[in-house]
Parts: sequence; structure tokens; C-alpha cells
Amino acid sequence: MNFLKSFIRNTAYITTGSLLVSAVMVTFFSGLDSIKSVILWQNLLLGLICGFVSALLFPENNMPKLESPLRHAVHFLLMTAIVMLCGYLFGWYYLSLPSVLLMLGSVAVVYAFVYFSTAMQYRDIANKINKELEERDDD
Amino acid sequence: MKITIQAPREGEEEEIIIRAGSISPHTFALIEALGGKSSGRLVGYVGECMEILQTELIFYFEAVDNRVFAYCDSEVYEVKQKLYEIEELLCNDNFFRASKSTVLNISKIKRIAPLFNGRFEALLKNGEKTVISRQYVSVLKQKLGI
Repeated sequence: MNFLKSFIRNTAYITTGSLLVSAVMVTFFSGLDSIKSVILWQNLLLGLICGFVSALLFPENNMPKLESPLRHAVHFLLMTAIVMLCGYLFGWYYLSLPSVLLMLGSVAVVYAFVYFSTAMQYRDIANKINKELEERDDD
Repeated sequence: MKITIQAPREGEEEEIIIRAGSISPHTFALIEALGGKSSGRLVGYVGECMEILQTELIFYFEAVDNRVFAYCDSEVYEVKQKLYEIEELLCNDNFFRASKSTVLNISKIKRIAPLFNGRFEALLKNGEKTVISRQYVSVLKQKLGI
């Protein structure tokens, strides 16, 4: 159940970030006026794959604290590899240096978007809990 | 052992007082039989010595290698109950399951800070830090009425 919740949450964040970057890329870099609907399914599929791997890599429990930075580095590299592979298969970029760099930049932007979105959400939860703890102490 | 039974005064609650220098296994068995655990107190062991623990002084319980320890400000006691039994026993108090291996006293948390991926680090009032797993954050929120 926890795995499913984690999978759905990760998929939602990653798909949203991926769609945002796709919109920016198509609008400003592709030179196209319209896109094929398949790109939406490709984004969803990518979100599902990345969401699944993320849920596997970050279980709800039993995650030793010291491993976290290393786990994040592995996670970032895995996400990059998955997006680059899928992007190549979907025809999102060509094997040229500018195209690959643009794609890598997109991965970094989506990763940062997901990371800061979740960080802000958790910071908000911590603030609420801390406020309640302070009020209890005052009582 | 001398046993004295006194009738309480009118309006007074029935009460059992045990006068003992130290708690022997027999006395402990008697306390348990009288529902001593449900009174919110647990027995902690340090070597051969036993002590009735005041739960409000316990910061957290931790399971290590199939043994459960109660951590107070500076003392550590071993308790005989399993972690899930302690969780059940103290669920109406300030305690909550914080991870697979810990049960934490909310009143001993100074503040919490987010870690990676939904987990939180609780800074306790004695300066110790412990992790609250993502799946148990909702329990803490519920206990705090958030």
C-alpha cells in the first residue's frame, strides 16, 4: 500500500514536471506549431517508469539515514539514464551535442522541480507540526 | 511479607500501596497481576536491578537485536515487552510509532525537520536526534490534531 502511494505520488510529480518541460521545449525550441498527441502518452509512460523506479529506490521504511545522499545520487543518475533512453526511443532529441545537452538540461530542470516541490511540501508539514509542539510546550 | 487490608474512608478510591525497598520478581509478578502495566508504568531492567519506569520521563523506546530499550534523559533501561506491545500499551499517552524500530514520546520532541523523501528528523529535548519514517508522520499529525 505504501509502495503504491509512493509510486502514484512520484509519478504525478514527475509527469507534471515532464509535461511542463515538454511544453517549453515544443514552444520555444522545436519550431513546430502543433504536436502529435502521442507525446502526451510518452510523457505519461516516462512518468510511470520513473515513478516506479523512484518508489523502489526510496521505500517508506528501513532506509538508513547515512545512505540518503548516495541514494539520491544514484536516483538522479538512474532518472537521467531512463529519460535519455526513452527520449531517444521517442525521438525527442538527436545524437548531436546541442540536442543531448538540451535534453540533459531538461532532465535537471524536471529533477529540480520535483525535488523542490516535495521539499516545500515536507517543510510545510514540519512547520505545522513544530507549531503544534510549541503550543503544547507553552501549555 | 506483611499484608494489611484497610477499608478506605467514605468517598476515597480503593488503593493498593506496595512498600518495598526494591522490586523482587515476586513483587513484579504481583504488580503485573494487579494490572500494573495498564497503569501506564513499565518495569525497566539495568543488569539485575528492576525499576518501575515513569513513562513521562522516557524519551523513546528502541528495538535493537530483538531487545527493547527505554531511553530516558541519561539512563537506558531494557524492557521485556515487544515494541508493538509498548505501542499498544502507550497509545493513549503521548507515544507513537515513529519507525519500524522506535516508539517516540511526543512531549520529548523539541522540533522536527524534513529529511529526504518524506522522512523527518526529530530533535529531542535531550539533544538526541531520531528519524520519523514517512509512513508514521500521519500518525504524529493525527496525535497532534493536525
